[in-house]
Amino acid sequence: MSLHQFLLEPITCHAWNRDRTQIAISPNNHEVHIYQKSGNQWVKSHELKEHNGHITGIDWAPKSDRIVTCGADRNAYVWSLKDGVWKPTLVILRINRAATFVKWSPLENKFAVGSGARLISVCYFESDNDWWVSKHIKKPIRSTVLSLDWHPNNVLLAAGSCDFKCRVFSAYIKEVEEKPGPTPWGSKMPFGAVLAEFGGAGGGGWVHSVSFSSSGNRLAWVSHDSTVTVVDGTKGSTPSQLKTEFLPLLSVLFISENSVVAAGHDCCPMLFRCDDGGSLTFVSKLDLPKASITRNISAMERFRNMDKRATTEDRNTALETLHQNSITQVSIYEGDQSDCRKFCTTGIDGAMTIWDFKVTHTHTHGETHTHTHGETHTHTHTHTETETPTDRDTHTHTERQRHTQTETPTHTDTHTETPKHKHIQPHTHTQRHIPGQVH
Amino acid sequence: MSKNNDSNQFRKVDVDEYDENKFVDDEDNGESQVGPDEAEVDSLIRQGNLMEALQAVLKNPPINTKNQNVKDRAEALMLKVLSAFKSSDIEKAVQSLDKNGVDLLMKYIYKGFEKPSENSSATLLQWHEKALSAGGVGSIVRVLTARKTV
Repeated sequence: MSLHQFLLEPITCHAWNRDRTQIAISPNNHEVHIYQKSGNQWVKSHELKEHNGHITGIDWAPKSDRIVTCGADRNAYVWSLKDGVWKPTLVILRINRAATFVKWSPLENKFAVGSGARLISVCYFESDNDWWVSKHIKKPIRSTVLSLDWHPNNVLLAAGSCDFKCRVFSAYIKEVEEKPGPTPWGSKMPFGAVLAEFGGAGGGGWVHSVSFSSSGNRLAWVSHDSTVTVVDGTKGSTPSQLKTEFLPLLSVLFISENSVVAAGHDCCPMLFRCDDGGSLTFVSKLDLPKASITRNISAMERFRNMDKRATTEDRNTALETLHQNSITQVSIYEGDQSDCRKFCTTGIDGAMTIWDFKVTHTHTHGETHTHTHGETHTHTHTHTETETPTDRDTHTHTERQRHTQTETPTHTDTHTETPKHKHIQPHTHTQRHIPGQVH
Repeated sequence: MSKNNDSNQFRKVDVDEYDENKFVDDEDNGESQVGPDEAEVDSLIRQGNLMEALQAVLKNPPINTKNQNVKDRAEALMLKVLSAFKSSDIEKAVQSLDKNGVDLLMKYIYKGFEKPSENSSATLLQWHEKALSAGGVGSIVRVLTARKTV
């Protein structure tokens, strides 16, 4: 029964281990729960209880198998697995406000923590004293840091914050690494230097999420004024901004050098393309609601549904998208940032969905067909497969349906002959385990 | 049950006023912005060339200026143009605008909602509906998040 309860809790943040057999999530409280995949189900294997405030960020280092968590209690802990138990090590961040975000660097020798104290704490391990030391990046951040992303060279750090700006800092720690070579973002990189600053200027919104591409040359961010922006460091510093007609996006991720996936308050991941000239275009939503199958619900079922939801009228308030509430985080599930085959989203509805799509080469007539594959794992203990036709298991049926549906919205008209342009062609197969339907 | 009869004045106090870390927005020199050209817009309305009038009134939006008069005049002018349109032409007019134009139109519409006059709300609502279908909820979000607006 307790298992059910936290299922309805929002998943604040999540992190995968290297082979994706385990996921660490925080169900909107002071704990981190680690789930182990067993067959088709997820079984809770560990509970990490050390924080005194809500967990705001989790990151799992794939190679060294360490988890770093940060929370509203102004602390961060680095967890290591010893004899089957996760043991925490406190990191003194020296911040006087909550931590908001944490990310391991690519080489996993340091991690960066964003905080409400208007600074970024970059932490590295000092083996002489056997503890983690933090260094602060303060200027010129003027409000809460919401999101961080490391450049592949392990030195540059992009930060999105509530002062409406996205900045690229240098987080070069001479104690743990060699001096980095020059990059398109700059060549002199003392610790804390601002190499680039974008945004602000009287407009814009809080920068919710930032992401470097796999080469590190491109930087994308999403902002609260419903925009997505990409800047290419190699092509000068004019960012290309796309004003979307959707609700603000909360998380953005590069899934190839030219494609960006973002998701947010519209509960649906969206695909954007960034072409070689650096301009950004919207490709499509990746969660296409299937055509409503109007089935004749028996009177018995109608009243049962009303009873279950304690409503007085017979109305279906479920969203058409897979996620029933905003998506707060998108992460790579299979592949890497240059070629992602599957990505994962978690949100406020407590659900974790894995999306997969195929990237194919150019179509001759340049239309992108986007279909998605979503599997919602809502962690229900009662794993009853429903027999009602609303179960989206019918493979061919939905595929054809979605095929006709997607012809219209995505006209990219690209006329591209160059084969290096990849077009996303996901294919549909959604399987939804609808909880609690009892005969 | 119980009603709070005490003073709620404390809610109007700005607690951040004397905070030395208070966020001050970038100063943008907007003194040069004068708003759309009234004479030009008026003449276009008189000629009946409403599409052009709409384009003209969307030029030079007084976004950065601190002069409230300029903003009020621009808003009044915009209202005049919007009311001059026939209901059936509104959709075509909105289609003729680009993305930034739709965003700017949305800003003016919400500004107009703030100070309703005789028939303004009805016209503005019609325009709002058409602008919403063109710009989506994103355009409204941009009205809400814009710190410097018309």
